[in-house]
Amino acid sequence: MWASRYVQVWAGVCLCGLLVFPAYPSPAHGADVPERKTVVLLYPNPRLLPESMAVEQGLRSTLEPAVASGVDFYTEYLDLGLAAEDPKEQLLTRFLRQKYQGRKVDLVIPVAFPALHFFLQHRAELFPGVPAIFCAANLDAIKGLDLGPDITGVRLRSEWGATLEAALRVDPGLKQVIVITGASEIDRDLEAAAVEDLGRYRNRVALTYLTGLPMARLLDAVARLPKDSTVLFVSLLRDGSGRLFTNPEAVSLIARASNVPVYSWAETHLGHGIVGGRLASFEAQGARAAELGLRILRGEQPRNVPIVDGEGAAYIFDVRQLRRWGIGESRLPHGSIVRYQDPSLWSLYRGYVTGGMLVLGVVSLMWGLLLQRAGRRRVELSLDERLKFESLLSELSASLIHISLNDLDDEIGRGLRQIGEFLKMDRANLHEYVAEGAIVRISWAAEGVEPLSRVMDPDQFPWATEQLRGGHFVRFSRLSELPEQAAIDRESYQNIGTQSELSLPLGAGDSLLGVLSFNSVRTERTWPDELLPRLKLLSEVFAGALERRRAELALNERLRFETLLSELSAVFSGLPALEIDHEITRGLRRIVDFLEVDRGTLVKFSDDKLSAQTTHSWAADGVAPAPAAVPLDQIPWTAARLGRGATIHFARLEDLPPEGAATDRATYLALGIKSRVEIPLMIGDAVVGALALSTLAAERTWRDELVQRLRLFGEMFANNLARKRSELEAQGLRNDLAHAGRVATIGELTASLAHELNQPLTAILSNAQAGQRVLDTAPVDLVEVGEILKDIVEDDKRAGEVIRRLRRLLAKGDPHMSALDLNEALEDVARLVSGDAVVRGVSIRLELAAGLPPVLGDRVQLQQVALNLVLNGMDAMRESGPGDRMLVLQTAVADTETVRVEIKDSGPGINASDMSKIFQTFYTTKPDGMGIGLAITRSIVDAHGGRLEAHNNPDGGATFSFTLPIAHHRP
Amino acid sequence: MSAPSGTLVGIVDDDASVRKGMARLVTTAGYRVEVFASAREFLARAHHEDLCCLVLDVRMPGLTGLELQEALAVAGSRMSIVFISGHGDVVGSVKAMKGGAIDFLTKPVDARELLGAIERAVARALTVRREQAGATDMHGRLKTLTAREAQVFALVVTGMLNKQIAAELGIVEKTVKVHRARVMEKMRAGSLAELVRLADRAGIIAKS
Repeated sequence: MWASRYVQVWAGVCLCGLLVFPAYPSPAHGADVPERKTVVLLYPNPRLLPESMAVEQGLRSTLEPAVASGVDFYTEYLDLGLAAEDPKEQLLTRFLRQKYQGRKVDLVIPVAFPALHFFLQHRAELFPGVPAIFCAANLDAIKGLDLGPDITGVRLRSEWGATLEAALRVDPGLKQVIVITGASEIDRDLEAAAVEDLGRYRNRVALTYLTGLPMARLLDAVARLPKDSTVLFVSLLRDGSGRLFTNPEAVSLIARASNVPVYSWAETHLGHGIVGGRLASFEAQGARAAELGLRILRGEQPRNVPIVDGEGAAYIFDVRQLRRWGIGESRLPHGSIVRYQDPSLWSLYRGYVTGGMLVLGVVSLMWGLLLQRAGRRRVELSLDERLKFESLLSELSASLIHISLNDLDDEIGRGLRQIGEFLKMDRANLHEYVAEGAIVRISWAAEGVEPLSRVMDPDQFPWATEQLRGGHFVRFSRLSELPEQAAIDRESYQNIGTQSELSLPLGAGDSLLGVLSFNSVRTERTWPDELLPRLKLLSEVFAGALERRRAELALNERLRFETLLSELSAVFSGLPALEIDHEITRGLRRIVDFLEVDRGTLVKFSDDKLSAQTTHSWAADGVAPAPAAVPLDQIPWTAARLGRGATIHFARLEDLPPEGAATDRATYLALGIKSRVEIPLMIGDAVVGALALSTLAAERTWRDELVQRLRLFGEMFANNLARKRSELEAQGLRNDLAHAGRVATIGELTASLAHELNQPLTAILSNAQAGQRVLDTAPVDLVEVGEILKDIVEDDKRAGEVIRRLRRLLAKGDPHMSALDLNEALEDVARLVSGDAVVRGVSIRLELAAGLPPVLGDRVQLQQVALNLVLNGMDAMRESGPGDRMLVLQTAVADTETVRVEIKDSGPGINASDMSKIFQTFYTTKPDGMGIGLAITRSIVDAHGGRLEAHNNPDGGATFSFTLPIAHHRP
Repeated sequence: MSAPSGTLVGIVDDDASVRKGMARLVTTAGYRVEVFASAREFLARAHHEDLCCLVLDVRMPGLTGLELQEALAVAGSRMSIVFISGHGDVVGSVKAMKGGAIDFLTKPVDARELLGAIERAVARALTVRREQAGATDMHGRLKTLTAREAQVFALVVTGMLNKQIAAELGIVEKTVKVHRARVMEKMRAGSLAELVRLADRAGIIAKS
């Protein structure tokens, strides 16, 4: 059918708007290609439409032969028509940004106004500095458009008026024109242009606009129009109920249903039921855009290339429709083209028949009739076929773009089946290169034929792969056609039963995504040239889908990565220094899980830079733990690179340089490491250690992008380690100061301590001497002696307790946080100062809440806080009268998370002017004070996560209060 | 050296162990002991007269030892007090001694020192008792004097001659001699000197 010469006839008669077969680049053994040009096409429609095909046809046929080094076309079908704030548009721009980020684009061609608008909005983000040529954009109704620099283009002029003129010529009695448009944005834009253009005919005819109606209602309406009306079709890509159409489809439905003639404005609509009109040629638009494009690609500045109007619009009519409505050709405007003349065999061979030679005539008549019928059928089939194929392509491209990525494989399979069945192939396959050296196939086979296996070894087809990488396709009708170099390929084809094959590359050059291939298994078959452009379009549709999937997978992975990074960062922010180590190990665990490696470690380089000690490590289940330390002279190459701040990664040991890293290789081999990535950890400019991720079970590749991202984790760990170090240093300083404060406080208590120790000592002495006297008296009362000794021991222990309490308070240790009984600790403090209180004549009252929950803190430090505040309180009451010295220690639950301690005195209170200063370092109101007491006290409370405050009591005196966190169970 | 048995010693100290230990020690020396946890507790006990000695801690919560000493003095008590102190309190000790304490000891207190001080305290207490007893006796004797005898007494102790007294009172010398003898008898004085001493004790101011 494809080989039918009638097709060639019709092609010659120029069925523009459908496809004309371009001069396809021959399947040559491609010569070395220097710099190829990259052109990006932006279509507003989400799928292939006849209009876009026509534009592209015009573009490619003009551009491709003219650029010697070759042109790579990237086609983007934007699903516009959504609100600007629509997240889908943001997703789209993100996808495009990712896709074109590293690629050099030489020219962007937005087609139709919606794509132009999108381009102008996102140009800076997506294609900075790239010149652009718009094409087939009807700007007549657009007001105030600022194109900006570096852009020129081909305008589509509104010629609706001209069409209407023709309709009026055809039917001078025309009274009403029904203008039909759909609901999509493209439809609306075109309608606006039409309204503008048709405005001047308002007085001549009644204009009725049917906009955005559901197709059913439209069809209903056009079936019942009055006789003196006519229909003008503008555009209907989406009807009122959301159903999608191509314009030829829509116009065909409407024309069939309409009881009056239907006119339109685009060549692509002709042949589907319209009478005709002043038809714009999309192919001419494309060709003109290509001409401008050539100038740009050769280096001209867009500002020197003026915007032009598309040509090629002409009065063209469909003879069949003329006949249907009884319109004579004489009524058409002068110079009109009439198409679809029927050079039927009957008319061609009429001569024979009328030759009068009966036998020949009858035979030839019969022959003629047969041929004619066959011919017409063939002609009609091929027209139908073409439409059907286009619909198929259009549908497929739409579904591939909209399908969720999980269902993509199924949809590809379905598409392959449809195409395969339609083109009557034995097998249709899509190969995708998924990773280094792996090829996954989706294969459809006709009934009775074996489909290809899911996974393929790329080494089976070396010659074919080379061809495809070069951007050429592979085509043969029989195996013997394959050249000498393809010996291995031939054998492989034989193995899978292929007799004839057509393979097209998806993507090009380095970014070869895969291959679309069609096989014939049962018989040999030929692949006519006409097939190629259509299949090339198809391959681009598939390529787009595969690319989209890749981009989204990469995006997803990056999102997951970034989520992990931000989650870990969140954990670390505000974390107390003591918990950093624990969280680093947990972080390593999450990274190991996420990347599916076997082991993650953090190493610290020793100060002498001789060894790397493992400080944190996480190994997956069943994996041996990391060695505690590795001498750096066993991994000299690694150490040198890390020392320079460079990362290291290898997928297998052989990837390491053989001479330079021989020692390293041996070491890693001994450690069982197969693949590894190592990131230096830097604090400032100094490399202090490294983050290493290893696999031991299997080899694994590391994408450059991943390694770069891992640097971020390295930074995060390094920062937190630095923070831990500095916080612990600060902690150490605080400890020293707190200790000094305690020593000073204890000094203040000496007198009262001496008193407290004296009591048990006195009792012991009295008891002992009493005991001696008892022993001197006869009879000796041994029972009494026993009791005396018992009391001595008790008193001694009591003395010991005082010493112990003192020692604890004087201890200079690292703070030890634990859940402690605050009441008990405060009672201890009260006991410590009791002697002093007596001396000073102060009554101490304890109001400790019963059942106080345990608080989290360091006992010694908290006692120091209480002690300091109590002594301060007692000092404050120095001037008060003897009966008026009352110090109250109070504890209470403040809320579900905190406990409050209050120390109230009955002194003169704090001066308002001192209030703000009392916690400052070195501020003191005592004549012999150092002024560090309250500052240290406050810093200790702060370090506990609490808050120290002071206020004056309403009934006199001051209260110092602080809160502490309740110790809950921690996960 | 042991004291007459039954002599009561009081110990006031806020520390229980100290009280217990000291009480034991003092008991082994043959005294009876009563312990008090605070000065107030001691004051709440009626009749301190039977206590011969008070062992008193200086620094205590509430009323201090020194304050107790002062309170007792104000109440007219002549209690023998032995102070014990947990600090080296110079100021306190001076005050204590000036207030009439027997001794001021520092903790931990050695037995010999403590018992020695208690002994002295008890001895003093007995002397005081005797004196007080004596004082009571004397006042009784004074009461038995008639009005005229009292007058004569008052003048005799000024050193006036009988002749002068007779002239002062407007009576004859012989009557004065009789009254004088009566006074000597009633007051149980053996000599003029004794009489003067008694007068002094009774608080009869000698006219000069």
